[in-house]
Amino acid sequence: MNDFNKLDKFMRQHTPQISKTLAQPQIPKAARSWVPALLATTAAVVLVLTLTLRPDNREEDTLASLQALDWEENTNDLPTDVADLVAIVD
Amino acid sequence: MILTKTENAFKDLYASQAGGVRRFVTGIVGNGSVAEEITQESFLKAWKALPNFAFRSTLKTWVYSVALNTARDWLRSHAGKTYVALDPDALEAVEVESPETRAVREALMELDEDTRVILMLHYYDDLALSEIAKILNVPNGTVKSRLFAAKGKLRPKLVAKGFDV
Repeated sequence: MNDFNKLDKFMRQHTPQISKTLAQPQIPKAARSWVPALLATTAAVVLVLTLTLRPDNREEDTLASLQALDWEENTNDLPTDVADLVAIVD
Repeated sequence: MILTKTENAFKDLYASQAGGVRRFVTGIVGNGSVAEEITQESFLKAWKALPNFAFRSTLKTWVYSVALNTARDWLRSHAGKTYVALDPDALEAVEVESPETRAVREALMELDEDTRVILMLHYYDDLALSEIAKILNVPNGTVKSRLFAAKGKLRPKLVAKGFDV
């Protein structure tokens, strides 16, 4: 027989247990089994999105490069007919 | 930086246990700001020694034992200094303090260090006898008998404060 039942009860009621109150929030037991599946699904979705979006990005990059080349050609090299005109004026 | 499983566990341990360790140390040294320093130092020591951790105990009990030793070292090195005197508000209440909670805190502060340590580990930190045994580095049976004796010292303090325990 524990002689300190009343003391134990009193102490349990009146000692703030910081280690418990500061413990990180726990995921409810019922939800725990879903967590790995949810994480795996999220990872799979991210992977699929990454793979499907990559070619589009590449196409856009290529297009941007080509446009830049066009711009450079237009600004640095005069079209042939214009160059001929300039030569005639000179 | 890729953390190992143990390092991640240690990180979680700090997040969940630093408050408890700080209060435990406060109960030993009797001064909140000193306890804060000792708590930081204890976790740092434990972190540095992590590669040598042998898993003979849990990380939690290990950190508590490091904190206990660090606090005792501090007490020894500051023995006789007047500012070591127990701070009446050392064991701060988490929420608004009831008369009973205050009485418990005051009663604990009136006890000697060893008695206070074992009662705090048992009641405040809610540790099992086996965990307390690991922290104090004594057999389970010793914890049981010391705890019994500690309760015997605590009860009259609370009775003197008007509580029927």
